[in-house]
Amino acid sequence: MNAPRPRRPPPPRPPRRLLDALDAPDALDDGASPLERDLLRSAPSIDPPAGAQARVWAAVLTKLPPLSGPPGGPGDGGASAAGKAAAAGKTAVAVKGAGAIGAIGAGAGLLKSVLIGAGGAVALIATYTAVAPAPRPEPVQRPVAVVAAPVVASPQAGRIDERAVRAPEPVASPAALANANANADRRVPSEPRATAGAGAGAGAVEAVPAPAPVEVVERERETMLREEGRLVGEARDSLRRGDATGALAQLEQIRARFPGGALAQEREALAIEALARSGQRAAASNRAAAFLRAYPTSQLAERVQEFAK
Amino acid sequence: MTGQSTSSEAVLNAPPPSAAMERIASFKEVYDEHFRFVWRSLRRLGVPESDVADAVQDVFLVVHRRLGEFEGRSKVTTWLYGICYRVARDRRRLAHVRRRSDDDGQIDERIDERADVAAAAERRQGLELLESSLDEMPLEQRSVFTLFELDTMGGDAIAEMLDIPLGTVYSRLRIAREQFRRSLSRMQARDRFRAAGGER
Repeated sequence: MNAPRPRRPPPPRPPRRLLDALDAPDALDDGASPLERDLLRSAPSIDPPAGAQARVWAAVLTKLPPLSGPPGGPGDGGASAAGKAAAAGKTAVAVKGAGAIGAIGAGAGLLKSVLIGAGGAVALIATYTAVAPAPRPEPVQRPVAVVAAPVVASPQAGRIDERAVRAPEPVASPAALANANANADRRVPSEPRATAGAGAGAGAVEAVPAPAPVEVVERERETMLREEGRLVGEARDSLRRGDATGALAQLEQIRARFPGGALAQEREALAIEALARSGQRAAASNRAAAFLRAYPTSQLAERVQEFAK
Repeated sequence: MTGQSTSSEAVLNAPPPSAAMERIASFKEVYDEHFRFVWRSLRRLGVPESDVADAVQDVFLVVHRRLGEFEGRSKVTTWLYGICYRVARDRRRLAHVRRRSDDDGQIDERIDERADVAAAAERRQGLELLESSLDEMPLEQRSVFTLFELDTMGGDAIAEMLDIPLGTVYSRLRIAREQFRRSLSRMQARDRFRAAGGER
């Protein structure tokens, strides 16, 4: 009796791979020519380059809808509706500021895409701030809490650690530390600093030992990324309203706070645009050239190229 | 155990754990686990290197929106691949529209362009040749073709990943191979023609 074969309905035999066919003399049954095989073998590596994962994650974070958004609600609808609502509010504000937007956008296709992209992100970020004005602790101290940790942690994500490590704040000012601890109590409660009382001062920084839970570091890093993303979004928003000078000032502040920030490239690209749009062509061009030297393969390189001339 | 107690303390002190927070956490897990898969899938589906980071973002923004809807009826990779597929398809359409508006749909010109591509490909060891022949395939064929020929997945696995019957996998593969073959020989012919000094 012929039990019906459970799988593989129509085709009689599974085809051989063109590449495997190399080893088999009857390979040409499958008709792979040498050229075809050569070509298939030449298929490029398509793995993400080092650092891409962290970079893209940072970018994704800046575009996420508000934390307090409708959790998994009616899926699509919820989030984008919120986005739209925010966008509507934003537009009302923006329209006052500038018919300039339209004019500028039309001028450079480049800007257009920036603006469109920024529009979405900014709207979402705006919702985030509007809906969840979380009792954001005085953020300047935040890196302090991290300083002890990331050196140890995180095999991946080199870029971001770099930033945390390079954070320029005076690391061990006791006041700052106490403050940071207070903040950490709210936000990152499992930080293993419990040993050190807030008064312990500088020593405490060293006392926080290696086994900083990676998770905490991760979360802290995300908080920082989110903050950086929010600020970059605001700067973008200013630029979009036509307030290039304001945007420049904001970007400068961000640079001071997150010198090696995960969004350094986006920040710098925005700054270059803002310079150009505030009439400082030469400065824009210099910084564009520097940008291209520093990040020749950046996603933003093409955009920045426009200003390098 | 100190870890335990701090973490229960943590629960007490923490701001009310919102569903949104949990969502972010599991979103991050999906991201970490599948970033490479998404990146590679998009590349295979023809998203150029220069655009792939953006496309990955697009994919994960959809993932973030839809995570609540994903109920594990299929494998995560099947779900993700479906999203990659749609993102790649949309980008492809855009690219086609752009190209068409650039060259105004002049078929002859486009063929000449391809001849250029083929000529360059010799120097670049066929990379571009491969890429442009893949670009000529409809996405559904390209998808099966690359999974099978380049990623050496089995037919069953492909069927599961694409959520289509095995028979469909094989028939798409067959058509894709024919298409691959045809576009290669056409490009070669153009190339030879040019090499023989026949450039217009």
